[in-house]
Amino acid sequence: MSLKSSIRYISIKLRRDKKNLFLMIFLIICSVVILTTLTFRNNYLKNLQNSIDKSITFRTLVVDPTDDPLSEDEKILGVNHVLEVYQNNYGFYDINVPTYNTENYDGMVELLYGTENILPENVIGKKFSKDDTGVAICPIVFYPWMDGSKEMKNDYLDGNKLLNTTFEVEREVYKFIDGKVVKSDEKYHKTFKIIGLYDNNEVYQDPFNCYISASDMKDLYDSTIQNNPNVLYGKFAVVDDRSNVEYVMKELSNLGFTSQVQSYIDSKLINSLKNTCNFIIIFTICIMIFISLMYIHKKNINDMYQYGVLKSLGYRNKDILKINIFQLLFMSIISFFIGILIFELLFRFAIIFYQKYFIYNSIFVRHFVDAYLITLIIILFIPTIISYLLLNKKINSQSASAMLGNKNDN
Amino acid sequence: MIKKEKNIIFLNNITKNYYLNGKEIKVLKNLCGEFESGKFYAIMGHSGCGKTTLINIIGLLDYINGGDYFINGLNVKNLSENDKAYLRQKYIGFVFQDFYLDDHLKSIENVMLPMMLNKKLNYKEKRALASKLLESLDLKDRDEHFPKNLSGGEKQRVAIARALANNPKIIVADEPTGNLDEENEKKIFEILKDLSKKGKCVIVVSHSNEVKKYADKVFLLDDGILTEA
Ligand SMILES: Nc1ncnc2c1ncn2[C@@H]1O[C@H](COP(=O)(O)OP(=O)(O)OP(=O)(O)O)[C@@H](O)[C@H]1O
Ligand SMILES: [Mg+2]
Repeated sequence: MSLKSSIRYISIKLRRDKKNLFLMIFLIICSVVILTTLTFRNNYLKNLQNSIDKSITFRTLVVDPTDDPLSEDEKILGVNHVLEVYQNNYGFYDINVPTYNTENYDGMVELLYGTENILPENVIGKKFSKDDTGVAICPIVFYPWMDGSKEMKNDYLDGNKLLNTTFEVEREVYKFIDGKVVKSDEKYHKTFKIIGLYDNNEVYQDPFNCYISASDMKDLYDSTIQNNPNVLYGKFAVVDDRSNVEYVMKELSNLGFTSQVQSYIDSKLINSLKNTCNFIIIFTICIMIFISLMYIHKKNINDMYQYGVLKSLGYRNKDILKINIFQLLFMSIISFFIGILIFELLFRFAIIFYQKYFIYNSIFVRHFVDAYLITLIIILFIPTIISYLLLNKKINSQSASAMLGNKNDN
Repeated sequence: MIKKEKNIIFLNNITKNYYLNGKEIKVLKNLCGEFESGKFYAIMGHSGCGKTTLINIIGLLDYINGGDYFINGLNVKNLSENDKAYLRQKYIGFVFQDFYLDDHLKSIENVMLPMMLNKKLNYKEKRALASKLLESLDLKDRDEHFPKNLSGGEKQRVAIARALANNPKIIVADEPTGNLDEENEKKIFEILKDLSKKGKCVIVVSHSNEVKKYADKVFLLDDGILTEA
């Protein structure tokens, strides 16, 4: 039997025999589930890996304070691969920026400690050095809104339009008097000029994070909060590359410091997520095997007399197997492509629906070829192999007349 | 081994047993028979005597337990499954009591079904041939009908057209008129008679006495052997 005639025959049967629809709908659902699960899983892991690779927090060490604060910086900086050391209360500062406090944004910005050594690599415009003052580097897609509890309602500020503009920060001043924190009547004001823009998604910072110089940060902090003289502050030590973190920690420990990485991965959460995804896929495969078995078994019983008729017309067992397997392959491929279509719609919908969430959290979502391949293999082979195994056994174990006799059985 | 040329079918000491729950049922017992091209044979006998069994054996749809069966001089006993399938395709056209048409295929597609195995004809030629066959069986405007839209007599004629699709030398029919009224029965027998006149070996199992009017030879199957009535 030629390929062309079997394809013609199969396509006629598929179009007219509505019983095939059930299995196809089921296969479509399975492809969507598997594709979605794999894509979700891959994106999650990929984003996680990206954040580990790109976020400075995975190569920033929190060093506990020692009894000898004055010599700490020098000692830590002396360790190979350490780029920068600074007191940990200077790390970031949440502040109100009246310039951006409009009806669309709450105007809250988180300022980050910046020096030439730890600024993001790629900056549009200019960078600053640690002793410069009155300068800032802000996100290209800027969102001066820190209240995560409220729904983000507006578009991001276009950083390109903000370049070379200024903003003013405002903060109440607290003083440390007789061991107590007292709010004073003064207010702290300072103006910053945006001299550069960085891509916050690239370095896994939030869209409300602006870098200011180390000296401005110290001034801001010291003028508004003041260090508690009775408290020893720890240090942040920024390492040049994540691969050197372990080495630096060991060296620090040799020098008598205890340190830990600022951000760490919750491996329990990741494992449980991986396991859940694996479970969904294996569960889907099991259901698929079960449904395919039932469907194909029933189809074989129903159609057995037809196979007997085909044999009486001169078809070989091989031809009958071929027709059946081609038919299932056809159904699987069609289901797979419809599944892709539905998945694609869901995917687009999710991207549009969660767009702001994704940008806010520096999440990149994309397609993964291996997700498609794995889905295709599962959808293609399970029904086909089951069909082959069931039918091969059935038609080879009985004569054509016995197959014809099956008509009366159902 | 070549048997007499005009005997397209030669049955020699055929035995056929069924085994059911460990019990042996002897259906055909050293059955002998010869069938020639160009003749119409009727096989009659009481229910359960083994007519279907015999016709299935002749049509290569069932195995024999003993004896030799020659088609066109070729002993089929030791042929492989594939060779038997090839013989069925080339030599034998089968007509069933229940028509056994594919409900999802139109008349013409049902007739083309056996032709799918034929790689020599292209699709257009197959279609034309099927159409001609249907026309020759008085089904000129029924090409595009599905079986559910055909009468019983028409269905059986489509089935006959399908049996003729590969131009076989032998037509075997197991109670082809069993589900038809008298008028359609006559029509079917006439068609089969006509085919025998055109050189085919036609073997028909029937309960109906009507068949005797058409048959060149009537066999009675009784106690596992064929006797001429
Ligand atoms: N697959 C089988 N297994 C066991 N016994 C069988 C089988 N097929 C047929 N028989 C038995 O063999 C005998 C002959 O059956 P067969 O169908 O050939 O009879 P028949 O002459 O065609 O009868 P009818 O006129 O009713 O169609 C019957 O007794 C039947 O019960
Ligand atoms: Mg019978």
